[in-house]
Amino acid sequence: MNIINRIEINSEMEDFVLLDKILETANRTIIGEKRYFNEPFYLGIESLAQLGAYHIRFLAGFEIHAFLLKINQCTIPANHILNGSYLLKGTLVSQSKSAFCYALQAGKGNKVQIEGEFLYATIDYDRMLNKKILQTHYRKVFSCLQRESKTDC
Amino acid sequence: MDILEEITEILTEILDIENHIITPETYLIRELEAESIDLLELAVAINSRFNIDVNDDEIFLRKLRDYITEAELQNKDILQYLAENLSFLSRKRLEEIIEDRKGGPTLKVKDLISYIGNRSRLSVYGSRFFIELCKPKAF
Repeated sequence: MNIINRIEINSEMEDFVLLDKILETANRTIIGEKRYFNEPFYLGIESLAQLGAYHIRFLAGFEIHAFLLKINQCTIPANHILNGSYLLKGTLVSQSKSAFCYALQAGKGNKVQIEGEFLYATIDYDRMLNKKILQTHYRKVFSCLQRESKTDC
Repeated sequence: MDILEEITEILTEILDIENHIITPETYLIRELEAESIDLLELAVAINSRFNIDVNDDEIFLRKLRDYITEAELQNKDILQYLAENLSFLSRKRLEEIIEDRKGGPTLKVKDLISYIGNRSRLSVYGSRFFIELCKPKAF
């Protein structure tokens, strides 16, 4: 069983991708989109975490593995529910060789619903984090999220 | 605010240690019990506060034991080998580290200060060099 299969089994969500689109990527910023259907706020936090991690992988040419370490000062919606289409924005605030700090937010209309500072670490792929499987997977998902048509995804 | 004051402010926030007196001689791991996640947070905070590139392996002396082993295996002088690989630290400090290493992780606040000072100077020299390059030439 490879790691992708394990992700599906654990989350019961196919590939556990909580992003619908990546609209823009630049050196320090990334913008994405996600539509929710009366879903709990923590899925929005996970969407933001995924957005930041994809930006790190994009910056590194998908040569390293990125994972969330910590969230500081996170605000959540008052009713704890997400419904409708949300714009997700990430800004790389600071970084070291192996850690990245992002200001990430999810907004609907003009209102920011979730906002926080997300700290990530990076490590090289190894025996447990198989480079061939994971690099291919993340490249494919990133590429699909950037496309208008999802027919090949 | 000098570098020590800024580092103290950052460490107090990250490690939640308001009543701890921090000096250049304070050990980060032995005394303040900083964990790897804290060090990563510290690295990005230093990048943000001092506007310098931060290499986690260097600033936190992560490869110190590897360097010592390499020097021993290659029959090289340990002090000289460390000076070549951790050039931001003085020879006096490297001698201290060699003496002290059996007591546990040797990283002290003053090592962070040396790294930041060294990197800041490099940035300043780099900027000056860039400005010199960009000056209009008289023909």
